[in-house]
Amino acid sequence: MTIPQQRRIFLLFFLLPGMAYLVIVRIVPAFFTFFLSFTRWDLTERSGPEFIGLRNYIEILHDQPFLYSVGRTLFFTVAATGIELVLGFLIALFVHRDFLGKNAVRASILTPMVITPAIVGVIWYVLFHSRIGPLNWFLTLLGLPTVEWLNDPNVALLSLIITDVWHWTPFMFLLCLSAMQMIPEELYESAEVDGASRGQMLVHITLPMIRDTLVVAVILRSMEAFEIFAEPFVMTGGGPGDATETLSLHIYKAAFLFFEMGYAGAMVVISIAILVSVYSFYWRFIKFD
Amino acid sequence: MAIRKRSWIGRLGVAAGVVTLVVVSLFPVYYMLLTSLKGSTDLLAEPPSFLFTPTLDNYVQLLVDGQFSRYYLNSIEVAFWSSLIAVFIGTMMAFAFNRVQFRLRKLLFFLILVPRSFPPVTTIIPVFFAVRALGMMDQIFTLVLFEAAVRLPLVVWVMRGFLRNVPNELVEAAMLDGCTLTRTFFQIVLPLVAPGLVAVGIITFIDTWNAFLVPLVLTNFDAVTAPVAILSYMQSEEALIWGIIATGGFLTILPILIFSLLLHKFLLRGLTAGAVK
Repeated sequence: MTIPQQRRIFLLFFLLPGMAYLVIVRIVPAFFTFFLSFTRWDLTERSGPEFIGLRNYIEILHDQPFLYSVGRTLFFTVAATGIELVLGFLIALFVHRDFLGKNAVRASILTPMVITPAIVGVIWYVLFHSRIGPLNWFLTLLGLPTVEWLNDPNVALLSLIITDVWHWTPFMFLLCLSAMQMIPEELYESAEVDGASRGQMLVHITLPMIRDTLVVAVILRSMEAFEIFAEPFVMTGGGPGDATETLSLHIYKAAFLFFEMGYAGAMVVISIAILVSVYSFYWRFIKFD
Repeated sequence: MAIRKRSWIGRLGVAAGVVTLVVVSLFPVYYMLLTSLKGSTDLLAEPPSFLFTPTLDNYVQLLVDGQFSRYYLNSIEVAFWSSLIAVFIGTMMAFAFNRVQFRLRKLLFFLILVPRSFPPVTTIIPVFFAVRALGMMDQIFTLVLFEAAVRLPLVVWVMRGFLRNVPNELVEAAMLDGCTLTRTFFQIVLPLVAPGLVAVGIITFIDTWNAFLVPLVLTNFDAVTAPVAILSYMQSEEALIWGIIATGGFLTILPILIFSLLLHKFLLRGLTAGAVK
C-alpha cells in the first residue's frame, strides 16, 4: 500500500466516524444554543422560536438575578480553588515524607475526589443539618454556638465552599504530590550541602519545579468549580433565597423550570464568553507535538 | 526528602496531623454509612448517636420494596456502554492522530478538546430538544450516546500518550507483511496498550457514573440513574427518610470506592495523565 493510500484509509476509518459523532452530538448543539439565544421561545406556548435579534442580550445586562449568579459563581470559584490550592500544597508537603502507613494515608486522603458529586451533596446535606447533623453537635461539644449551615443566607455559600474544599482538595494534593516526586533528590542534597534552610529549599527548589503543575491544576480545578451544579441542586436547590444559586443552576432553572429556552440560551453564550475570556491563556500551556 | 531524625514531640505532631487528615477525609463517608445502618429511633436521636444496634432495614426497604435496584442497574448499563464506546472510538481517533500527518490535524485536535471545557449546561438545552423531537426521551440508549460523546475527548487525549509508546516499526512491519490496517490495529496495537485501555476505561466509567445533569434532564421514569433517583427521596422533609437517602448514597458510591481501592495507583496515574505530562 502506498503512503497516501494508507493515509486516506486512516483518516476515513479511524478519524472520520469519531469526528462526525462528536460534531453531531457536541458541536452542533453548541451552535444551536447560539442560534437559540437570538430567539424568544417559551416552551409553555405552542409557537416555535421567534427571532428577536439581540433583545435577550440587552435584557441580560439588566437582569440582576443573572448578574448576581455570575458574581456568586466567580466568587465561589476563586475562593474554593484558592483554598484547595493552598491546602493541597501544604498537605502534599506534609505527606511527602516517610512514615508508617504512608500509602494507606495517601489513599484515604484521596478518597473524596472519586465520590459522585450528587452524593457529596447528600453527604454534606446530612452533616450540615441544623438539628440532627453531627457538625452542630460537635460545635455544641466545644461550647460554641450552632450554625444554620444551609438555612442562613449568609452562611450557605460558605457551606458550599466547605463542601467543595472537602471534595476537591485531594485533586490539588494529588497533582502537587506527583509533581514533588518528580523533583530530583540531588537538588535538595546539594542545597543542604550549601547550607540552605528548609524555607529556602521550598522557595528556590520546590516551588519553581512544580510551578507548571500548579498552573495546570488551578486552571482545571477552576474550570470545574465554575460549572458546579449537582451539589447546590441537591443541598439547597439554590436557596435560601438565591444565596447558593450558581450560574449552572440559574440557567437550568430558566430552561427547565421556567421554560425560557431562548433566554437561557443567551445566558449560556454569555457564560461561555466569560469562560473563554478568562481561560484563553490556557491553550498556551498545552503542548502539542 | 531525606529522612531526618525527629524528636518525639515532632513525631507526635506528625502523627496528630496524619490522623486529622485521615479523619477529615473519611468521616463524612463513614457517617453516611453509619446513617444507613440506623433504625428509626436512632435516626431521630438528638444528639446524633454513634453507638447503636445496626439494622439492615433501610437496605431492605430500598432494594426490595423500592425501585432502586432498577435505577442502580441503569447506572451500571449507562456507565458500561458509554465507557466501552468512548474508549473504542477514542483509541481509534488517537491512533489516527498519532500516525498521520494532515493539514488540519492541529485544528481538529483543538476542536475536539474545546467543547470539553464547556459546562454541561451549555449543551443540555439543544440536546433536550433533539432528544424530544426524535422521541428518544427516557431511554438508556440516549444517555449512552450522549455521555460517550462527552467522555470521548479525554480518551483521545490520554490514549495519544499511551499510543506514542508503540514503536512505529512494529506497525509498519505488520503492514508490509500484508496485514490490513484494521488487523494491525486490533491484533498488534490494542494488545500493546491494554493497560492504558483499562485505566482510561475505568476513569470513563467513574466519570459517567458520576454524571448528574444529563440524566436529570433526559430521564423521568424508565432510564433514571442512581444519583438522580436518590433525589426523589429527598423531597420528603421527614427525618426518617434519611436512612433511605444515606443507604442510596452509600450504595451509589460503593462500586467507585471498591474500584479506587483495588486500582489505587493505576487509577491515579490515569487521572493525572491528562493533566501533567
